[in-house]
Amino acid sequence: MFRGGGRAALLAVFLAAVAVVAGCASMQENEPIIPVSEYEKLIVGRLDANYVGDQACLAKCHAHDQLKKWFDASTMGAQLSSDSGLPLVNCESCHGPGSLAIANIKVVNGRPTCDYSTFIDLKHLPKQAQSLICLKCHTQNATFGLHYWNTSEHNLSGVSCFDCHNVHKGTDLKVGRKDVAALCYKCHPEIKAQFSLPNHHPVNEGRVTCLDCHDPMGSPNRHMLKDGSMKELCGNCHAEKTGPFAFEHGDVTENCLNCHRPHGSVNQHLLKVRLPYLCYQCHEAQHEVTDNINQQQRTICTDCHTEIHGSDTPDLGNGGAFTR
Amino acid sequence: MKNILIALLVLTAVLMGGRVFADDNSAQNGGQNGADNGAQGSPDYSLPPEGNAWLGYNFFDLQGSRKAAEYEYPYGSVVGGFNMLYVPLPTRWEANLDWVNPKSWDANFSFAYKDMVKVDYTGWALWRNYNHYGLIGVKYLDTEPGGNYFTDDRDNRLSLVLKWPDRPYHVFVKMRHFEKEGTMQARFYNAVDPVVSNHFKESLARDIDWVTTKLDVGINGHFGPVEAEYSHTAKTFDPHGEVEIPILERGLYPSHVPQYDDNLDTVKLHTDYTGRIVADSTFINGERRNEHSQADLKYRRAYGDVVLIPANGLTVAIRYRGNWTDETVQAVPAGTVTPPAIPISTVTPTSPISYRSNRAELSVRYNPVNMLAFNVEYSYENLQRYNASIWNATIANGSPVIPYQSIPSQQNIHKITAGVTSDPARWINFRGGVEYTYTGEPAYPVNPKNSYKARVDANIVPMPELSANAHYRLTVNDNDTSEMHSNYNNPGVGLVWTPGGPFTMSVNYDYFRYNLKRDIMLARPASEPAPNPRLPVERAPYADQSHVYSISGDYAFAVIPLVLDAEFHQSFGSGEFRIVETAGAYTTTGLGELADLAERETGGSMTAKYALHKGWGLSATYGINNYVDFKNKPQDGPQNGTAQTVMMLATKKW
Repeated sequence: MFRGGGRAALLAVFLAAVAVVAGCASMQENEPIIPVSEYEKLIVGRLDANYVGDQACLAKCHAHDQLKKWFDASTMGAQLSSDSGLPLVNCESCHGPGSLAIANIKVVNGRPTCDYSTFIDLKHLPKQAQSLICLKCHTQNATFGLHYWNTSEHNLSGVSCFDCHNVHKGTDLKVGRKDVAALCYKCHPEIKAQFSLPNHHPVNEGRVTCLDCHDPMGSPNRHMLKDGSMKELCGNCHAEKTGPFAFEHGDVTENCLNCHRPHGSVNQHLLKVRLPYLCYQCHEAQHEVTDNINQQQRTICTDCHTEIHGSDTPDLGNGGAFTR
Repeated sequence: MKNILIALLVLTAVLMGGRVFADDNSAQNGGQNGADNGAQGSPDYSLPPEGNAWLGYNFFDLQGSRKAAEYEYPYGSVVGGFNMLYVPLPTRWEANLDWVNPKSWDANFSFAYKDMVKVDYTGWALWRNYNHYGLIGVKYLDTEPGGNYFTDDRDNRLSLVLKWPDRPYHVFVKMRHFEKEGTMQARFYNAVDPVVSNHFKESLARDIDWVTTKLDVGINGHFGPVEAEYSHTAKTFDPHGEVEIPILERGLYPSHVPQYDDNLDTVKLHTDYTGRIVADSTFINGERRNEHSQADLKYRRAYGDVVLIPANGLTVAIRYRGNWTDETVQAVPAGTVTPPAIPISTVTPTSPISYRSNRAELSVRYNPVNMLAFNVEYSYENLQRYNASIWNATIANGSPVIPYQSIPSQQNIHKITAGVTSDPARWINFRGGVEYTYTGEPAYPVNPKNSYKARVDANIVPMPELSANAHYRLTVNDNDTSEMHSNYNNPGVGLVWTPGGPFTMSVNYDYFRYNLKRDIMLARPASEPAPNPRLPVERAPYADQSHVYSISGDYAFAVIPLVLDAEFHQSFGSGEFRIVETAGAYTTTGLGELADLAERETGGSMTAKYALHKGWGLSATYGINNYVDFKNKPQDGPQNGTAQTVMMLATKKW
């Protein structure tokens, strides 16, 4: 199973080992975010405030006791020891230092309320600064999905981590499989309609999700598609159609979107254009004739050219017409 | 082998988890109540288990074609499931199961110990019903008229991530096992000459058992300012040896579904995200092999990004994408069904097309103020094809394989996009964008030379209880080489009304229209007089359109603990294709009528939920889906049908 690219693998492992040895010492050092620009100062909070710790906050006002417990229950809460040198995660990690907030506690509607205005105004930060709140920790404690985040269409279009993740609740803060589509539809309503067409992938049925094809945290491909190519992506579930075949369909099948609409279509097989017109766009309509034999062949193209994505078997004339 | 590996990994995780639990318990005995900022450790409390469960029966009824129940197992079944969350810190357990029937379920399980051990399992099963396509023409044979075709799809994914305590080093394993098993329709061309066979075309049932497995093993860690990751991925597609289909008149019909093996290595590097400047790179080296015909695809990819934030509100991204493929094929055994005129033992296929693709992109985002952002992006791609000229050869009658156009050896593609996002007030936001793509030499007549796209989205909340959204998508494509001109329109609107109290309602409507005109080439019979056996048809029109709308609402009664939910959706699809021009008018004569479309799908459901004491409850859901094919064309097979379900459940929350 592990053949091919063996040398590259060995080289990579070697380089990784060297990096581990070289990097171990530096990992013990605490590396706080240094606000070197105005942009980064946005996420540091009030410089005249001090960090007081969660317990100091919760002792003054119990409004967030349950929220704190939920946060601890997540993968972000209470994970690291203080001597690890890695960023610790608690309320002030995101909201900023809280000493001024609890120093000015007032009673509002009979309940003690701290001075929220002294915290970082998370809701009104620029979107990329919102994400940086998360990235300042996730940069140091590997989160695999963030490799392409900064260059992703979402980041550059003003979508922040907060728009998709509820950071206060959930065991791993992920969006559940059954909730993914509804979340994506909020910004992509036309996709919801496409999945309601008579021919569609089973997204509304709750089996396939947007995340099976797209990576909302970035990918090297357009439309944030996963995998290296369209063919590879579709091949995760339709591997029998991907090849390489002895008889290829030119390189048309390299991009499945030449013929298919992936979300939904009025046409069977999610085709962009119905048969036989789909094929006529590139090929002569050879059987649109009136003589006897060809009239009998009057048909949808794929009745005979059934292996249209490629075949290992020559056709009846020992050519590559995908009839077998 | 893989199963053993899975078991070993899970066992390792559990054992490792067990060890650290023991260590942690002793540490917790003297711990404080809750996490402390100065010594963040494991809090010594547990969140009480919470969840819900349901059990009942789903009655199913189908009248007519299974098209009305495309993704439904067409039998009644016991229904059950649960959602469970248990967090005895520092471990976390979560499990979900939604069991509709043995052929349709969804399950999820996750376990984590701190951030050191993380196990996730996701699985689902889905039954899919396929059309039974009819054969048309004079001489054909369907060996199983009325047969039902289906696949039973099962997807199982498991991931395991192990992290070094308090160090950012990880080992990860991801596995996927995807199985598609069932009976599908095999249609094929039987013979050119009716003397050889009594039937030109045949159809029969074909059993499949296709399995795709994927194993991804890797390491990841931060080394100073750089995060590095190496992974090896092995993918296999196994058709379980299906190579031949027995047919009535011709013996064995070869139908090779090949086995594939795909191996790739990936190295990723990126800098830490301090916000101001980040860079990443990716290198991939892989090979995909067809184990039947020995066709082989080697590929390499290189990606690089640099993202800068030179000033507040300004982001600049530079990207590079390189993609190189080399595909080779071997000679394959000649056909066995019809002996060729000159006996040969092997056939040498046309050399496949390989690529060298290089793309560079520059993207800029500018926020002059918080409520306004502009995006501009330019990309240039150079794509070189190898062996493309071979594919521009002519077919037997001297015609090119692709009329009008040849596959270019080199393509230059320029693309520019511009967009704006604005939320000037809390009650309104707006997004819009345009995109233009120029492809110097499109590869195929379906590919545009000039492509224009536009999109607009607006969300308005005129009053707290009402929100509305509207969107519009437009794509205009043309290719003057193949005389292809198309446009795609999609306007849509949506409303959500929450008047307060017990009632909420939402309405959505979308309209899609696709118009396409292009020159096509028809062939005349050999008996037609010279000189031109070909009949060009200019600007043959094709169109399809669809209306999609949905209404949903729920109502909670004030006096009794009863909640009603209802949902209704409907789509209309229609379209036509005309190819034969008679006296200046397009008619439906000929193959064009095969593409005529008129369909309607209507679905809906109503649910009543009644809450009893102590978390118990009752629920009943009625669902219906109706599909009507107004054209009722024989080649599509029977499609009209109605599926109905009634699901009765007892529920419990805790």
